[in-house]
Amino acid sequence: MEWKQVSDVIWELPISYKPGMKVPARVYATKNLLQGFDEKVVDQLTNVACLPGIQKYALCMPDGHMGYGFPIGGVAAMDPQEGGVISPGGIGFDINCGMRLIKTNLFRKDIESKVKDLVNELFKTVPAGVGGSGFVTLSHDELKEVMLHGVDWCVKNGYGWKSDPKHIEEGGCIKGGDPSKVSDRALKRGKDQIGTLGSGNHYLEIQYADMIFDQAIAETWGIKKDQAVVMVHCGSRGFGHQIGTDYLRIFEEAMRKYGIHVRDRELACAPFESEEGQDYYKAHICAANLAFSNRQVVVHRIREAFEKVFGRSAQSLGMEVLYDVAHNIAKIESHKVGGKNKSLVMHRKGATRSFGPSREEIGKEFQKTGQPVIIGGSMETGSYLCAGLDGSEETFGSTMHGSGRTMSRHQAKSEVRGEDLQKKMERDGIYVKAVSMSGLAEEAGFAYKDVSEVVQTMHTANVSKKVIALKPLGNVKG
Amino acid sequence: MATTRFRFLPKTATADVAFKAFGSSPAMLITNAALAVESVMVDLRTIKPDRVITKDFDAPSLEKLVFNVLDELVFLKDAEQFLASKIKVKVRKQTDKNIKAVVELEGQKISQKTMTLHNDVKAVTYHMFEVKKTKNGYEATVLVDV
Repeated sequence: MEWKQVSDVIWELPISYKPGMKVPARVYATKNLLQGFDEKVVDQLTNVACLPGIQKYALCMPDGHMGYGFPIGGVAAMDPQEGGVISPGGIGFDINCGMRLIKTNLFRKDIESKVKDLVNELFKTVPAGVGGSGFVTLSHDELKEVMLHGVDWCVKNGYGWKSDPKHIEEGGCIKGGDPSKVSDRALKRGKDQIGTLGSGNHYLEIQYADMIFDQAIAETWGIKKDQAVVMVHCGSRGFGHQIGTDYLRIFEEAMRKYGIHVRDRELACAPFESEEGQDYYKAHICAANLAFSNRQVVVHRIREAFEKVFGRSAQSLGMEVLYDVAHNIAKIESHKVGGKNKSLVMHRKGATRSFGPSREEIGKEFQKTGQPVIIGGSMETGSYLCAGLDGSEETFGSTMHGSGRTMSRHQAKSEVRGEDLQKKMERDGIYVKAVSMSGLAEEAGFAYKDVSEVVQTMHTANVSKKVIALKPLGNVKG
Repeated sequence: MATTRFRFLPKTATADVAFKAFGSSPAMLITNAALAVESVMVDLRTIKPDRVITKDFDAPSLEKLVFNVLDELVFLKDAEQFLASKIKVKVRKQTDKNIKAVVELEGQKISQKTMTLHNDVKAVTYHMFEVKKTKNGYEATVLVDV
């Protein structure tokens, strides 16, 4: 395949690459990372470039890898005025899967001797893995409140601090959800799962700031070298998964009705302005609000665990939310296309919003720095905290979400046993507890791309700026 | 001679799990595809069945029926905290436009203490999803999101 090199880290395939492409496909990657992209990713990305109403480019971030429908790391902007569609395959079943980072005023030296106690306590109090159900069971009425009010419901019910919502994308509550568009099956799957991690690559991790790349931003955000933080990665659990499944079925029929043809059944979609498109969007907002709430209740439990282990209040431990970002979501955002501002349906699947200082949506607190972008690396190698830049307009305000897998789950667990990996990590100073040992093996560091190279790619592209490198001390996995 | 009931496809999916299931009949195909989905989530040998759930299905094609049964397993995992290790399928009626089946699931409530659990299946996807007749019977290709 003939890539056109646009810059050191941008590669493009023209619309002539595949019949039906409406826009070129662009991959953000170093030459080394690009060589690791397999043909399936390119096939999926160029399928996205064929979707109705897509604007400028179908984009793939440097952590991209094969998914279903869209590749993971996929970004696409659709213009409803030009028949633009909404596709669950461009969001993922785990609607508003995302990351949250909470600060502490503890430093590595204060916390290292307590990591085992903390991880053991967190493993008990934050359910993870298959069958993990939360300590909050919601009635149907309460679940509807969560769908409409998100984190505000949590704060009102004692699962958060008043200051938490302003440190969350969209304040932890996206307006416009409609619970009547959510099936009973989704309600039944979601009612016991708030405050749970799930499995796969979901986790919570105690980390410390290992390297500071931008002192001024780190200081504004209140993080110094060696300071301890906690990172959480989870989403909307069975509730969101069921909404994705329900609307995939509905959209298969809708595509016949609207005469839409796609190259992969997982790209099933409907015009955004159609009844089906609107119904899905409204149901998806309900799932996004539930996911914000899920992470909120997890954080509530983390604060409780720290209080128990340190014998001090979470407030006195400085356990404020730094930020919470979605990386599987559709958002209505204004972006420039051909010099004009357009209201677009942004699809981000394994991609994070990366708004710079000029975007009002990020709130006053981040107006000087750009929004925090939380990048979860593998549990062995570490993670990053970046800042959104105004240069991200090139990617519709989007950047990577993690390091990105290079190896299949089966291959990873054929190369290492979970028990052996757990021991090796402990020798390396990372204490990990997991519900599933085979699941742990699947998440070994060697199964992922080099997160530093991924992060550097978007730093070089002027989309998101490296601020802090974080190293793990303890991890809870499903 | 033992026949292969299902086979995982490690090179087909990176973050997700893909498999092929086989069956000499539609009922066997559904049974084996269902056992494959449960195997993604749990070591079947660690389930001690103490509950039977019976479900009726009615679909316009075998392909839809396979999808619906697998989706039901994912639903029961969350809504009922239930995983099955023995699955019996009876196809009651099959025409060109309709297939009816009864599926009996023998299993137990999820226990993180007694079961060896693997990955939480989020959803059955349509990506590469295919059910076809082969010279030996039937074959399904499935990718599940984990």
